[in-house]
Amino acid sequence: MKRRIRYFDRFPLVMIPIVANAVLAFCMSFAMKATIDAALIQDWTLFWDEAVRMIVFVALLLPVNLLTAYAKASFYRYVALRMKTDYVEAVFGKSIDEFQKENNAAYVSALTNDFAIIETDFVEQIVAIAEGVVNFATAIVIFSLISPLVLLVGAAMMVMNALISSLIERPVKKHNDERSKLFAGYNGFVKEVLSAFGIVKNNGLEERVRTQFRDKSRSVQEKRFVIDRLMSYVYVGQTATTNLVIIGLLLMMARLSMAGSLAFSGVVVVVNNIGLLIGPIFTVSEAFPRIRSVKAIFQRIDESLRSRDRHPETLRLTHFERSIRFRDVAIAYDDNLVLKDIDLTFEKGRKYLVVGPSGGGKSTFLRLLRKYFDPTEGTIEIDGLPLSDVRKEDYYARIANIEQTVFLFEDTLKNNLTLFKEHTEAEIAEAVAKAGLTEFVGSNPEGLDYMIYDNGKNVSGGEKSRIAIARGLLNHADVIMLDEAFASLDRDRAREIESTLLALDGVTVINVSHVVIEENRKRYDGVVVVKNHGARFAA
Amino acid sequence: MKELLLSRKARFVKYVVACLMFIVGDVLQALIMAMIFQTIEVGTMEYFWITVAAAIGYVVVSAGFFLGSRMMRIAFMRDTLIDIRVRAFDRILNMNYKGFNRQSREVYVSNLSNDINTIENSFFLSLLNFILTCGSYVVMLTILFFVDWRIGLMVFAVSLVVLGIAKAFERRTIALEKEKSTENERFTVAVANTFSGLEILKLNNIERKFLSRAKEQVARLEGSKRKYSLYTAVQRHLNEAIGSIVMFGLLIYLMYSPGEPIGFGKVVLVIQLASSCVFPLMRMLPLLNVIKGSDAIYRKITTASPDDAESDARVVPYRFERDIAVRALQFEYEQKPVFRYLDFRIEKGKKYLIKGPSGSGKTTLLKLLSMAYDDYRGTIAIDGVDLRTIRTKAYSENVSFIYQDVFLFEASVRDNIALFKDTPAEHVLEVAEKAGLGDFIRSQPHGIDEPIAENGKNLSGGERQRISIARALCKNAEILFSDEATASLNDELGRAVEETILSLSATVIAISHKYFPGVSERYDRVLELKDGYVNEYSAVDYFAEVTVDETAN
Repeated sequence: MKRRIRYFDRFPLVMIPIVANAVLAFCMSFAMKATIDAALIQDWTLFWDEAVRMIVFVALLLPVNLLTAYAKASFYRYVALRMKTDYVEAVFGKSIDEFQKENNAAYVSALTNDFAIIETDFVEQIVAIAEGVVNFATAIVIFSLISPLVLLVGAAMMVMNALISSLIERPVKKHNDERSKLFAGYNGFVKEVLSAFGIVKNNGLEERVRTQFRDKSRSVQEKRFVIDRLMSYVYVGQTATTNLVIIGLLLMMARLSMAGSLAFSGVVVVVNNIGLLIGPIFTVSEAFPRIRSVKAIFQRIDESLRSRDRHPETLRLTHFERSIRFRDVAIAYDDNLVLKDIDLTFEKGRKYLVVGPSGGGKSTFLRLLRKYFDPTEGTIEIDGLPLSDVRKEDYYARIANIEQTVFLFEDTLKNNLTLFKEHTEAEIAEAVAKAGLTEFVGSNPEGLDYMIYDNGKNVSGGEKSRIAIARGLLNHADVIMLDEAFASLDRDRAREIESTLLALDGVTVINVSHVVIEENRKRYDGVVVVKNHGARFAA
Repeated sequence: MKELLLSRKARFVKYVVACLMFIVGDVLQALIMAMIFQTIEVGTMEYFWITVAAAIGYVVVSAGFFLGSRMMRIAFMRDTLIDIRVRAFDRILNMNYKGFNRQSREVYVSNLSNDINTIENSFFLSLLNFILTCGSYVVMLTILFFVDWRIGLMVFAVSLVVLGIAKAFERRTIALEKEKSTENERFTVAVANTFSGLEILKLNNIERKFLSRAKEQVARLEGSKRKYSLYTAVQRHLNEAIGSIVMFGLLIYLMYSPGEPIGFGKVVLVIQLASSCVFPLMRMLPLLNVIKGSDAIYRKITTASPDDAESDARVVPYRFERDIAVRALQFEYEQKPVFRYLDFRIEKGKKYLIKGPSGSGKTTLLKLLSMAYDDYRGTIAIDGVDLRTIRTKAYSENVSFIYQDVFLFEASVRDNIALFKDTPAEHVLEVAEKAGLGDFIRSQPHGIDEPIAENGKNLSGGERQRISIARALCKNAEILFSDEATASLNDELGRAVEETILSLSATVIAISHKYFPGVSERYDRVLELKDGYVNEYSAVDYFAEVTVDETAN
């Protein structure tokens, strides 16, 4: 979002119809002047000539206005599209660890709320300013051709308005910031309650939650009320000043006309075009504070997109041949030591179980293994190469992950299994069978083409786990990492699948699990116990 | 929304009056303009100074009316918006479980934020302008008739034409606005889902594909927004064009007076009045459309659908002394059969374990027993009384749950366990200890008063589970439903928790795939679900058939 100017490359296209509009207004005004002049001297032939010209210009206004509307709409669409697309790309480009530093809601809120504000308070305002400038310039030209004195008064007005606007800008901005914060609190509360719907209903917490909501709504609206009230004084000041100046202007022109130094038709033209002079002043004075207020939003977006300087990853990895080795590895989060003195080797083709008390560091250990982040001390080596130097995409291609909370997207079962990679029917059937999914596939008439909805709403917990396992198997990866993958399965199923995994030839299996099935335990080549800030092989 | 606005009748009348106050200013403005031009015609300094005085008076009066009007309006806006928010929230809160789950959570969030924001920003402005326009039209047209009845008639005819055109555009405008709102919802949901799965996508190197999907979704949303704004713009410009042509035509008509001097004052007055009738009128129907659109949004977010509401056939009080009897239970979910025939009894005070392969309906059975769904065939009766007739609230008070998904409030540990009730701290500590949270609480600087961050981001799976267990123990209800309470716990802790649960006096109905030798046998019965039927065993028999599989670490 930093180089915002590049989003405005199509800006000139919008300006063309705007300028055309202004030219038309100019022509129309002088045709009107000529018509009135003709009427005043009762030259009716001239009158009709000029009247017809005037009407033609008026009629041309429609197509030009339509063109302007179309140009603006296209432009806004283009800018919004590019900005949002760039944002999404930037978020996708983050490493997993960096991505998880922010709440999902922050990204979604940026894409929906923040960009909506950017569109109305930034992009639209910039166009409005440009349009205002053009119209104002036209008005100046018209006025200077009729009476330069009028110009002077217009300038005075502009100065006055600018002064008033700058005076109230800061307190309004402060109020708006507080309002945004309140809204964030409001939204957060709403999400919290909706997630806890079941608990709220079952524990009679409705009244409490209702009262809390009412309070939050009240604060938000009260804030807006205070802003609106403050703004009332501003608006009234602006309106009264404007009225005073316009009336003054007209009285002055009447006086001049009475004295004979200004044509009546001139007065009419000025009156007709006052809007062209005043309008832009208001538009622009409203636009600048709005544009400035968006700065905070841009900053927030830039913040959320920022990634720490990443360690340069230059090494390619096409196969995994020998081992993954932890040398004196330690990892700390914000001064909290999580794990230290880890010295382990995982060898290719062998099977490992990782156990440990909950909260003891198993997940952190797994995250290290998955290269979400690099160790604070020591190195992890894969086939002798430092893992931190290996390209993430290459490493990920060597690993299959089977997790406890399964992500399913709205698509066919088949695509959820293959993740859009090419696999033969036979390969898919084999993975389905090994994961214990055959029955599920058979129970639906569409079989593999069964549509899965909205993060797997129509799939049970156990089936989700089995889909995850089938996915992992399909991958034909060198290393399979399981993260509490059996937690939602019953014993028989878990035992079967674990057996299958343990029988895979040449594949390294690292199973982080609470569920320890005794008859399979001895088939593991090693059991890593993660506890007390350490990770070591059990005897 | 009419009913909402009229609910505070006196304030609404005040609001309308506030809107109409501007008309006074507008009429004065027309008169002052006419006077100024008249001054040129009359030509005397005396008349000029009278005009100046009148003009100053106008500025002051109109400023006063402006301020007064605004103050009267914004208070009304604030109160109405609070009402709308509360109503929208109530609608969601009053839904039953099934109705709530029909839509994704993001939709409700969108309702409470985006949709209300739309109402806040467009509805009130449109309402003000609409009331003002109508009032202004009537007043200005009346004055015009008095000045020159022929022109009055013509302006009236033109306004009918303008209204007719606007009516022709109406239906499509509303349809487009609705489409825009729906696209917004869809986009929010889709985007949230994609981000929630980004970790997996990246691990599988397929984020490219989803990136394109996300981009497509963005494009679609933008397209629908543009359609709407373009359509309304076309409408607006068409109206303006007609208005302009009419006004300029009128000007020509008024000026064409061969042989007579033109009366400036009258011309200006007529033009002013006529344009105050014609131009604002063009905005009337679009304004009305915006108002209707906001009304549609309002109705969408505040009207409860009848199937979603708690049924009011529930009047019977809760009483559980003997048993819960499930008879001939049949249930389908989304046209797939889940239970074909279930028939069993749950006796008060006993402990039941539900077993079965994945997908056999264990969680569904729990949901049926806990009143989440009631579109099943057969009966579930407590002490002979049909579950569907018992008052939901009464039932809920006597039931605790241990869920698989734990939701934590942004509150203290104590409040998360006691669920905001005034339970004495010793009791909370006691149940926390029993749930295996003792060490955790002792490690927190503020003990049970330690605040928990957003949904317990910094707690491990096991810790969250233990809080869920502590919650249930704390409530100490007569009936305990448990769904894989020990899934995220290691064997030692899981065993201790299972023992605690089995030693409660409550009637326990638990789903668990784990086996703790010596402990699991203490369940009274095992209900095994298979292929839509149930087999009942005594726990001892059930576990005797099964080989010992799991050990503690």
